This record gives sequence, C-alpha cells and structure tokens, in this order.
Amino acid sequence: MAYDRGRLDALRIAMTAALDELSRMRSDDVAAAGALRRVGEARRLIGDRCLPRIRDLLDADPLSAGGASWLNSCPFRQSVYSQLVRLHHWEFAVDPLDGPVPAAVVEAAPEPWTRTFDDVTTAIRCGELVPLIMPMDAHHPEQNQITTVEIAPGTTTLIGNRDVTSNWLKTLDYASDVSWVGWREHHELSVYYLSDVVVTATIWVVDPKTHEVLRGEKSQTTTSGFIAVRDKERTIEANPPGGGDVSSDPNASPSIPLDHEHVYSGTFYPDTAPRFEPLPPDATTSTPTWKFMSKRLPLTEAWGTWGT
Amino acid sequence: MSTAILAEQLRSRARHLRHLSSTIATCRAIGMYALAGPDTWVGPTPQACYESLLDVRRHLQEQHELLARTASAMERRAAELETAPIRLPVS
Repeated sequence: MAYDRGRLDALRIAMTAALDELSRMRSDDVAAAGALRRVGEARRLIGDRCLPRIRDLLDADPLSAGGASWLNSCPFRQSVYSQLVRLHHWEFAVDPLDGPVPAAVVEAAPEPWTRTFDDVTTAIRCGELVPLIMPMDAHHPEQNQITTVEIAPGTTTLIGNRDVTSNWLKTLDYASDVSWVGWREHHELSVYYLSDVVVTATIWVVDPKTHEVLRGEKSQTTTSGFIAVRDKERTIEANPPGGGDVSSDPNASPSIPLDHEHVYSGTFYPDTAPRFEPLPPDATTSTPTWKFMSKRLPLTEAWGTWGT
Repeated sequence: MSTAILAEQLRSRARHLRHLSSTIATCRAIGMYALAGPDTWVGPTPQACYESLLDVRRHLQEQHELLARTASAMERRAAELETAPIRLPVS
C-alpha cells in the first residue's frame, strides 16, 4: 500500500479524538440501547481495525533494505503505487491484504548474470535498468560536441539473443529468393552482462564552422552492468536469371552481392551510476569490444550508435 | 403516578435522547471517512478501512435519526398525557 505520511498522521489524530468522543457517549435510557450498541461497534471498528494498522505504518520505517529492490522492480513500477511513490513522494509498505509478500521483498536479488533475456529486456522497457548517460561538456552547445564511449569488459556473459527482424523484412527476404534484385536484412538483439567493464568516454568538441575537432577530453570508469546490442546486417544482391555466379555447385545461389553493410547500436545499463574520472589525453586504454558514438557520422565504420 | 409526573419524565427522557442524538450527529467519527480516502492512502487495507468508516457513518446517522424520532414521539406522548381528560376510577 502507498500512503502520505502527513495525511495519515492527521487521520490518526482525528481517529484518536473520535474514539475519545465515542467512549464518552453514555445513556441509561432503554430507548438509547440500540444507538449505544452501534456506537460500541463504531468504536471497535475504528479502534481495533483501522487505528492499529495506521499506528503500525507510522511507527515502522518505510520499506527499505530488502524492499529497495522491490521498489525498483518491474512489478512495482507497473503497479498503481509507483506513480504515487515516485511523483508525490508517498511511502510504500507491504499490505497484508495484497496476498503473499513479493519474493523480491524477502529474498536477496538474484545475481545479475543469472537473469534471463526476457527478464532483462522487460527491466529495460519498464525503466528498472537505467542507461548510462553519456558525459557532455556543459560549456559547449550540444550540437558542437560528440561523445564516444568505448566499452572493454573484463568478463562477458551472454544472457541471450533474439532475432528481431520485422515481418516485413522477412517477407522481403523471402521475395528476394525469386526476384532479380534481392534485399536481405537481418536484425538481432543480444544482451550481455559485463563484469569489471572499463568504460572510456571522450567528449569531442567540434568547431561549428569548420567541423574540425578542437579537442577531446577523456574520462574513464570501471563498473559492471548489462549491455543490449542490436546488430543490423543488410545485403543487396542481384539474382540474374541464368545464374551470374561461377560455381561448380549446381545448388549454390547464383546471387551476386552488390552491397553489404553491418552496423550495430547499443546501450549500456550500469549496475550503479558510474563516476567518470578524467584521463590524460595520451593515456592508453584497453582494446574495446564495443565503440559507440552519440551521433551517427559518415566514415565511422566499426562504430556503433548509442541507443537501441 | 400522576400524568403530570409521567409527562415530565417523558420530556426529560426526550431531552436526553435529543442531546445524545445531536452528540452522535456532530461526532468526528461521522466525517472520518473523508480523511481516509485515496488522498491519504491507497491499497486493500486502506480500502477496507475506508469502507468500514463509511459503514460507521451510515450506522451513526441512522441512530441519530432514530433517537430524534424517538424523542419526538416521547414529546408527543407527554403532550397527549397533559391534554387528555383525567379519568377517575369508578367506585
């Protein structure tokens, strides 16, 4: 349940005063017996049912410790209480009438690398996992700077991957088998858990007129977290009717590749908000597995775009 | 007991019942539900408490009206006793 502590305390004070009033109602008149019975019932309802629960709530600390993971979990974020707690700063307590206490409240959170692909993608969608905010230089307009992020993990655990190619592109792929010109595009979403990952961010300040890089400021942090990478592979091919490919295998595809592109985009979700420390410009960094840019620029092969 | 004494007793009881009725009508428990709504707390227990307080309000209001009606009836009876002819026992 979610509650406003100030208003609940006002309710407690009013209930105590009301109980006092009800207790002082007395009569020896037989005609008032029914009324006094109802007054007694009201006293019991307020004094035995409502007031003790309110006192318990006000005396107890708001949900913390083990409950912190529950407050950040998707079931809570999707509940009606989430907005009250986040936007109106209400407090939250487990309600005995809500049924079994959510496991997340009583159990420690599972190790991150044991989470499933669906669990992690749901956590990304509901906002439980917070993406890394790319550092920016506050002294320059946003359009005059580019941030690059290089990610060099210590240990990489593949959580799972899934074909996320749209049905339209699958249809196009199927049609390419019988068409003169084929367009094959494949999208795959992969989720990894990265331990002891070295994240190097560089803010490149660009001259707005000449577009030349004026300077680059590097900063680095070591953290752990999930990364979601979306790979996009596209091939355009020609399928001449007589077979254009010189191949000894009669079953081989006669297609002639015209263009091939492999790009990726991704987002890193650190376990805790990282603190970047400045690095000297000539500092050497470990070889990154993934490199991302805040803006997509031409002639930047092997660089991914930030955001999935 | 003379009818005058009986009428005075009825009036006294009516005054007491009216006082009790008005005490019930103005007690804080009647308006308590307004403080226990979804502006204060939300959840199954708050909902149960809110509904209990609505029941309290309904029952107390019923009793307030019932006591007022009983007091009026007693006052009417007292008036009847005072205006009714005195019947002497026939010897």
